[in-house]
Amino acid sequence: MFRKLAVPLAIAVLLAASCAPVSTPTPTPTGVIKLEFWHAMGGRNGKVLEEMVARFNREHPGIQVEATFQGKYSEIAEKIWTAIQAGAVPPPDVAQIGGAPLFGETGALVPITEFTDGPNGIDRTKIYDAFWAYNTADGQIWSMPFNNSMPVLYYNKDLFKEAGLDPAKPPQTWDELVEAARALTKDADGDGSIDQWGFNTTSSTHWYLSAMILQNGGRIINEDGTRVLYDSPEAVEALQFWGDLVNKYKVMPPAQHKGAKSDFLAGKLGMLMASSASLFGILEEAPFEVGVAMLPAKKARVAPIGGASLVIFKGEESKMNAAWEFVKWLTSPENSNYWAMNTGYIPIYKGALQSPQMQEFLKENPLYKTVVEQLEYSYGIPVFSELGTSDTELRKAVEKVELGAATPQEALAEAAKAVNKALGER
Amino acid sequence: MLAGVKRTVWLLRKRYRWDEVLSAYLFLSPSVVVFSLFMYFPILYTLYLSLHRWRLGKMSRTFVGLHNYQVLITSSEFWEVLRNSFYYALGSIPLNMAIALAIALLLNRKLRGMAVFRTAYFLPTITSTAAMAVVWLWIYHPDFGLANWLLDIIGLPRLRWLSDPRWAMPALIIMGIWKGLGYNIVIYLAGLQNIPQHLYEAARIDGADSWACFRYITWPLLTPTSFFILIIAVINSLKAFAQMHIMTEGGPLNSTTVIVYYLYEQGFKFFNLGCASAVACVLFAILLALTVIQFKVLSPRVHYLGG
Repeated sequence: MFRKLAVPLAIAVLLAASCAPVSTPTPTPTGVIKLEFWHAMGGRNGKVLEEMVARFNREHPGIQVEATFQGKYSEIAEKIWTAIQAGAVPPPDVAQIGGAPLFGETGALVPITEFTDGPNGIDRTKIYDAFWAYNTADGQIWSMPFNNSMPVLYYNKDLFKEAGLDPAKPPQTWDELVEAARALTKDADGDGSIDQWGFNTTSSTHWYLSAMILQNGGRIINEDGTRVLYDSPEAVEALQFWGDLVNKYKVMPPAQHKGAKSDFLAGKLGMLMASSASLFGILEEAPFEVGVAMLPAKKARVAPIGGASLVIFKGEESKMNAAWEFVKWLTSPENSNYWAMNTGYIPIYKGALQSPQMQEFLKENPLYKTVVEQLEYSYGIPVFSELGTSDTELRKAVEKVELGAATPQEALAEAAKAVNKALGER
Repeated sequence: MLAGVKRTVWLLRKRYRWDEVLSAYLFLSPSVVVFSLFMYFPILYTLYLSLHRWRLGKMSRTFVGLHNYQVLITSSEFWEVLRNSFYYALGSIPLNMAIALAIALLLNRKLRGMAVFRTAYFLPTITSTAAMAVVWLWIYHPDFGLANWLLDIIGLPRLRWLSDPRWAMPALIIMGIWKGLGYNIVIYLAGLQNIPQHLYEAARIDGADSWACFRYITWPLLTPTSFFILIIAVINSLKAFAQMHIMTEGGPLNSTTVIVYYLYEQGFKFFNLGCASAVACVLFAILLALTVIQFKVLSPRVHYLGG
């Protein structure tokens, strides 16, 4: 009788066993600390990062870092958020996240200053202030600047020549941008539809609009991070200019940012506003001569930095220390230069440009020089709690204006209202 | 559930040997455990979360009762989202079913090389939505896309497809039909092959033409299949997400923000988990209601082959 029950019983027991929490740690050779590192670098930049991690592992036999690509910033933020809040999966030991300081509030992070200012620390003053600003929330620096980029203006030198423009003189101001874009916009076969556009941006339109707002003397958020300020006349003027590019000068296609980079690479777009981190990818793929210019200026020249940072999660003492060892190594002056020179991200150390490797590199890659020169105009938009909401609302405002569904004033007022409401509810 | 209990009692009354009953339950236990763990628990937990305010960074949640639902119902955006979802469902389901049936009828023949066609129609179904969406982004490119090239050939004006709030949803519907077709064709084919040949032979002897055969034999006997397809299609189309996520991000101007995309935006862009859970519960209620209504209204009209 009991023999019949053996199989189902076995299944049930097995199942029960597999549901029980696994508490036995994976056996490791004595003394080797295993670290899990989640990152958001796909494609070309991902390969560079993984190669660096492999090098770290070789140089540090006591620490074994396992790097996993977890998707883009928004996806990695989702996963970490789920890991922290729901506890379904343990969070990693180290992660690369955008808007990193926002995770400080969760209590899951160790403020990075505990390590930078500790016995095994670094001299924080050697890193540009803008990067620390980018990693601060509520007066506390939470994360370590790692991969930062700025928007730059890419342009197709061949198309410039064709349009009678001087490829050595890319547009320096908003007005020059319009002028060049007009010359570059063409309906080659005369069928009434444009075959070559003058200007476009990739889909991070909130970033480029923020740049324009700042260039026009506007601001994004107030000092204490409690109110966004982009319903100001300066901001409205910036969005008006954006809308004019589409609807008045007709040099930018409406709501078509998704394919902008491919259009540029296909030689169907004259100028592209995109992240400096796309530089080497674009250079590799473009079958024409690429030019890189600083963002065109209005009242001032400003380039807001973006990108992501490294965070260390609370855990066992030995793990946290090993995690810091890894973070410190990855962001050391040499390695941060190496990272910058291989990806197009910007170096974070003040002296970076004077290093002999960098000087050599700039000679060989004159386009990267523009990116580095723009560092002087870099600006860290303060991180505030509703940054994600704000970015989404700004993108929607841009879309409304491009499609003529709202005036710049209405669109920005609505965006600011939504974000300020969310800020007020916190 | 209740029926199961009753049946167990009945089984016991009939003095089935207890060890047989027990072993049945032991065999069932793995799936019961898995289902409770991955289905029932998350559903109940979502319901619980929907009654709270819970935002990024805040480790604690505040109980707010039905506040999240109240916010949804009073926001014009949410009604727009519901409208978009129903637009997508109504736009894709009838066409999809009609085309699937037509193609299944064509494929239901004994011809050489039919397997090739059957495979070809099924390919879109097994292609990952993400990969497919990337290809369709190119098809819909306003300047150099295949779709506009076709419009040029037949002399229609070019469209801005995904960049135009009026055309973005139809564009997604067309793609959705293309994608969902294969699955429905296979189900219809199975249904067609279940219809006994002798019915057609008898009808022919009575002098019925092809249309009459379809009208009085094929269609009635396919009603269980159609019913099944309809129920699944309604659920799937209201759950559509991946193509919106990859191709339009809900835009332009929210024109393709469907329920699940809205949920995603609330939950993972705004990190407003309470509200996102409320959206999930509303979707659950809508799907449940629609399924019940379909059963009530359509069941009497479904013909099952007697015997």
